Amino acid sequence: MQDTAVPPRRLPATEATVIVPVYNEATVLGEVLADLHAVFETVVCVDDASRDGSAALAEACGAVVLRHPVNLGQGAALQTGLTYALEHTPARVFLTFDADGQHDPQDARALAEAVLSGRADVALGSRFLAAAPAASDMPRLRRLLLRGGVVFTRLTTRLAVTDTHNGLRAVSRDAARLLDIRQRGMAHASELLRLIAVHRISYVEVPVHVRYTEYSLHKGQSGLNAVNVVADVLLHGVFRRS
Amino acid sequence: MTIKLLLLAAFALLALLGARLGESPRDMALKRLAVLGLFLASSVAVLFPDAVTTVGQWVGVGRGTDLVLYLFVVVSVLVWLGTYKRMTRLDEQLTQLARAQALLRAEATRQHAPGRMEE
Repeated sequence: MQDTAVPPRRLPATEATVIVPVYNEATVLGEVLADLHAVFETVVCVDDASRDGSAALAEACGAVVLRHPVNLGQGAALQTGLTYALEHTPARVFLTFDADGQHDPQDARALAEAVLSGRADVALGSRFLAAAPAASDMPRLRRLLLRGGVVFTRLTTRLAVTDTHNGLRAVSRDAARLLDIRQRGMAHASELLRLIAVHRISYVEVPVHVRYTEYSLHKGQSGLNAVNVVADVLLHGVFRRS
Repeated sequence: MTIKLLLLAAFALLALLGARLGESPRDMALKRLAVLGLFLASSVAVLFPDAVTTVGQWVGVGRGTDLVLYLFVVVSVLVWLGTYKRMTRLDEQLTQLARAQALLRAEATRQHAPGRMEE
């Protein structure tokens, strides 16, 4: 019997949809989408009113493109993508994937398979799991802030998550129906974890690689934004809607 | 001292109640009545400055101006809270509107996802 390596399969539309929030990523978007399309049949880009032609570029690459008329923020873009995907795609699992080239489609596949196989309703990518390769090229301040984020999230949601601000996630259809992200900005990551905790959605953490290129670091969240995330989360507690 | 505590409790209660007022007709009417009441009280304070001092001493707060200051602080905080609440609500409406537009546009231009579920 011949021992041939079976190439990893491509996830069809009936199984997975990848949601990519996009804001001014024309520089790398073409490459990111090409890599994604090799692994996933359905990619939905949500263009958050970019000014560099990202939307047209995404369309040319064959992605489904939703366009926000005004810039709302990554949280809003994600929710728009989720709403669309739930109603207009047959997928059983929905991925969230960053447009700046930091994420690896193979990791996304692993997260998708984790949910599809029934391990959990949500799979969260983590840079800090023991099995993950050491994040040696992560800037020190960022690592410190992320550690702080973990502590903060544990305090506010009581979830023992090791990487609280990782944009690579997979959610099942059932879980996606329960999600209603209202934070427009970067605090959506905390809100998502809070929703998982509140609805008691099952989740697993899966080790993922994050590539820190000069481009992505330049575009990434500034350390100061941690102040905004904390403020948004705490103020939500004050004005909790019944 | 007891009077001061009662005053503080009254302030806290007012603040809580005020923060819970929304945009419904009833709440708007109540808020407007409160503004009217404030205007009337301020007018009395201007016309009868001694009255303010009397009330201040009765309450145990000291000078009348101190009482006015405290009330001003409470009212200010309520205004800030109300404004923040309103801003958050507008923000949410904006997001929902923009989202609806994005989805509608996708519909109209027949964005085709593979295996797309037909309506």
